[in-house]
Amino acid sequence: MADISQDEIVHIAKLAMLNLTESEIEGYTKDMKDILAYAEMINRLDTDNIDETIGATEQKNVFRKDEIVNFENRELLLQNAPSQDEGMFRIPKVIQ
Amino acid sequence: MQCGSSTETSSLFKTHNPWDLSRVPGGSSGGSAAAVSADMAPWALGSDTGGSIRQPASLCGIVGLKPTYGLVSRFGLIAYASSLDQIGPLTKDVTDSAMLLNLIAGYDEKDTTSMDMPKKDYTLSLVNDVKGMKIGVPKEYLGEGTSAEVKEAMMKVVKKYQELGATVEECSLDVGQYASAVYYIIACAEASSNLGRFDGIRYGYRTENFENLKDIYKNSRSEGFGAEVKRRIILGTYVLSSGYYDAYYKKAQKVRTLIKNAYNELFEKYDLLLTPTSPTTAFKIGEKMNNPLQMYMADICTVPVNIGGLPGMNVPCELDANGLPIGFQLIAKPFAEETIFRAAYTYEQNTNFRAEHRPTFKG
Repeated sequence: MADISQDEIVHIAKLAMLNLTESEIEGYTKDMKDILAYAEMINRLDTDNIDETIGATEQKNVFRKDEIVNFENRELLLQNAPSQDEGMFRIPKVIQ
Repeated sequence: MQCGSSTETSSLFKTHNPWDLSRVPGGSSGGSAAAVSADMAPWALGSDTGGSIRQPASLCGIVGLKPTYGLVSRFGLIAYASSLDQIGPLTKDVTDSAMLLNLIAGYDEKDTTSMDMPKKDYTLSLVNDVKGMKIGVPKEYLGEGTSAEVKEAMMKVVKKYQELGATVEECSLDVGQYASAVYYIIACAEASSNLGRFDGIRYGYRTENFENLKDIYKNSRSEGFGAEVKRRIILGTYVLSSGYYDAYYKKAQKVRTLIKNAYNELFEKYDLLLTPTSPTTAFKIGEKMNNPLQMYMADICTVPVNIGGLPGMNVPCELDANGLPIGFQLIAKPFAEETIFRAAYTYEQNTNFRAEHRPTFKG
């Protein structure tokens, strides 16, 4: 199962929105083969009737009240903007 | 953004180990550990997903604590693997660690995984006494992958605890051998999802080279992420992709349950588990760069603790023949940090690592 091809790496990179160079494709294909061959060891364990652990704690459905809290410090928020204009986030045009 | 056990793939600069500048400080909180070790900072915070506080603490000869999952809020931390990430203190000694944990522990409505429970004063656990304490030493962590000098140092720690009145005996965590495989599947899966937000629009680096929306996504991510981060995104995307989800991701989550169960059984018998923190001392910069799998093995003693959501601490104990620090790891059941503080403090008070050894900045 760990026999992963360069085509598969190209497909996975496309799903992950990454451009890879030829040498990266080659390198990552080899790395994935090695890592997955190692990870295969978990198949030696019998996990029939074992539940999956989804989180580290047993907590479920942590809710908060659906209340609006205004955040007044506009300057502080805009500090995170890579680009800003007249108190607003400036972003590239994303609709053609 | 940085991940890996050496701090060589940092997006900023390489960090060097203060005990030998030709060696790595460990990682991924290697910068924090090196700064505290070199007296550039009185303490630091690190984040630990698979050992990133404890392993660099060990390689740099300081105290590093990964608290129980849920004890410290991660609000403000860039999420890497959300079911494993935890923030904790890197300090020069155990007392500082308890004082810093007092400040950062507790419920935060901005992190829904932080537990709503009464605050504790961890400095009350700084008691110089381990009489009657039961410590288990899982034999699997003293096997062939662990260097002879690290094993020898562990035996001395065992002897010290016995002299101080604790009961120390060998035990087994057989299923622990699967922890690294489980870790890399789960952590990379979660990371590939978490890092999806770095699209060049909402978070992080934005490319200057684009003509349409897809270019912004792809070029920002490809230019902004380092080699190790890309490797983990590819692995994570692969194990979550249709056709492989059940075989890798779901299977790993089931094995995670088996590992948690094995810990639960051990903690019915023992107050603490004792292992090396790292199977070797600091390796040379560049030594493991081209072999990701070998690099991942540097986390073999620390990763199982994150899989279990348990607290674990590195305590420095010896130097090897090259003058590099060796540390041991104490592991307790969830929210039993007090037991760790008590045992670590007792060891520290009855030994002299910090008084006798300081970084030399050689190399």
